[in-house]
Amino acid sequence: RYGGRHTVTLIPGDGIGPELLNHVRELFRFSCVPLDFEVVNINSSITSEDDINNAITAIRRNGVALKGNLETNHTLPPSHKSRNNVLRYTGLDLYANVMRCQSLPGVQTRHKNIDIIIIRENTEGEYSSLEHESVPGVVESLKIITRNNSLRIADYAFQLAREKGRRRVTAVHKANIMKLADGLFLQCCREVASGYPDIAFDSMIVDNTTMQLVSKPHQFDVMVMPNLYGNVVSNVCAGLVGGPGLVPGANYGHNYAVFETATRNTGKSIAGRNIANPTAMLLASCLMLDHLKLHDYASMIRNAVFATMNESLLHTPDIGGQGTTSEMVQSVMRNIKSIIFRMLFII
Amino acid sequence: MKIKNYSLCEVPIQWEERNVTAIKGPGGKWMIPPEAKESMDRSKIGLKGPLKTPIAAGHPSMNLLLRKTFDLYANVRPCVSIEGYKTPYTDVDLVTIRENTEGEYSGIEHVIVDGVVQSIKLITEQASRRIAEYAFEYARNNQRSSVTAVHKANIMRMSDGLFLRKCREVAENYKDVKFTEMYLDTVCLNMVQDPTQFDVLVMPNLYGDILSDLCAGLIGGLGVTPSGNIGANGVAIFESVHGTAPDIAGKDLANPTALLLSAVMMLRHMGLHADAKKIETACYDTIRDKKVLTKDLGGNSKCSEFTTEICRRVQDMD
Repeated sequence: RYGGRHTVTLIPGDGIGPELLNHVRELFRFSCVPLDFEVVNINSSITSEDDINNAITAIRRNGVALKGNLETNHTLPPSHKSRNNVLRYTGLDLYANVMRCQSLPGVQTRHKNIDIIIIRENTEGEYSSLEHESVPGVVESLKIITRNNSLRIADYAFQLAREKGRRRVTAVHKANIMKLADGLFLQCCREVASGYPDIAFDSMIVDNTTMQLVSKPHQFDVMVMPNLYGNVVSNVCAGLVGGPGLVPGANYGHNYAVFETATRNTGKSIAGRNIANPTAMLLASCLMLDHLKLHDYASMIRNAVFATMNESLLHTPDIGGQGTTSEMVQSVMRNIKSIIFRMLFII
Repeated sequence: MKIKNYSLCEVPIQWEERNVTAIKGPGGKWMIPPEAKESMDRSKIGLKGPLKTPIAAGHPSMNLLLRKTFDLYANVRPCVSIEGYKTPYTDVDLVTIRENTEGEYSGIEHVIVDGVVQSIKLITEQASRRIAEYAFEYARNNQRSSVTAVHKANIMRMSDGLFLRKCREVAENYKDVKFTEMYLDTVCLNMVQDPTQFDVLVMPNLYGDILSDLCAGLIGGLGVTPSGNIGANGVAIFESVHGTAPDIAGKDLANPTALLLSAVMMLRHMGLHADAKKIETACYDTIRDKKVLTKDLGGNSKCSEFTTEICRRVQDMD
């Protein structure tokens, strides 16, 4: 965007974040992607409120960020809020978390050919962080559902479904128990649905949804839901297609977008051992390139990753393979080279 | 039909059948019929089929009424893979223990201003400690090796934090049982990839609702999943958790497995382990042999034929 090159904020985070993002940088350099990274080093140990605010400013300035997950130390007092959440909605209003769970042919899973898009409301619901101890030993936690945010996320879901040629949107809820809160969410979805007669709309209670997902996942197309159920359903779906190492995630707002792995794991136990699966992060960077309209680079890297996963079958331990992270990245780079050679020969 | 099954198998139980359709008691409050309550208070153990609450019935859900009347605070669902009823998941053997009285289902909701709704999740020290204690007792009594507390204390720091603290405190008194903690999303992620890593899971209401249904899905659905509700004062009600299926009622087509396995749970709870094992084995063997199965299990037999076959096997064992 400046001198023909984009600048993107890079937040390494904790655990496997830093090493995976280094591979992304390496790959982008190798592929000559016209993009520079502005690194903002926040992590769970050294960061203060000011650092977080600086990070938010950097994302605002660049408009786009790629991040690793920040660990939340939940033994600290409640005033110390989850850093990931602070980044996500305070001031950036990244209201839609979008995750496409697609089975990869080269990965062994119990269910095949899954292709579900999950749209999760990202700013309110159970994640409002409003809790208090009303009397000693009794804690109340508030779940907030608003008409505005529910309409907004429903509209996002239907727009996306239309754009991607999808045929059905399913709202996931627990309105039989939370009659007012989830009831409002469901009602908003219905209202928005009536404006999209070309797309079918139905709803399902969240507990039944998880049961259906593990037995008959192919009935689902696009799913939209409030924050917490989104957390549950996206993790179930990620597990169905092969695990946290494979699925990229994106957080969109009107003005900003932040890309990360879909299930937001820090991967503490495998950090620094060169065994983390880079697929999720690499595919997330491709989503970012698409967002920046650098579609050719996005396709090139994505196809190279798929070739490594489905043809070369170079897999990391999380999906049953013996390869290391660097071996996988090397394979992706080799595939990029052959893609470029093929393009050159065609010209 | 169930009762016939049991008398054929010579289980030493006396049955008292009671109707629990809600009636309006003195003062206009909805309650279950006094004869039903009195019977339960005496015997302490109940077996229940599915109950349907008509929409706009004017009274709260029947299940909710039972839960409040007997303070059924723990919902226990053992999920074991059934050999012969194939699902993509084999070797599942876990138990979900769900706090059933508070949490997200407190029913306290308000409209703050037009378009903004607040739903309150309540977590108390007392209820959390009680469910944690039940979970560890269950683990000890049933030779289970570990208890995992499922929570989201990174997001709901105070409420799930309190729940987690109580679990940790109770764990101190049960050093023979291994205690671990795991985020709800991580549990979901791992559960669908490898359910064998889980043993006993204890959690607040909503997560319990979701996870227990997820696990039921792993082994084949609500038609084959037993469930038990433990209350204060030694009361326990065992039930099948599927719907009332009005479309096949009275036609001898229903699959009694869920109710049968719940009854087996009941027998174990009462200490009648030998009888429980007999009936459970007979039921599993019948399903594994696949000769006499109800329609939803893939066969063509009637409900009565299915149960007769199970009874036959039990008698053969004696």
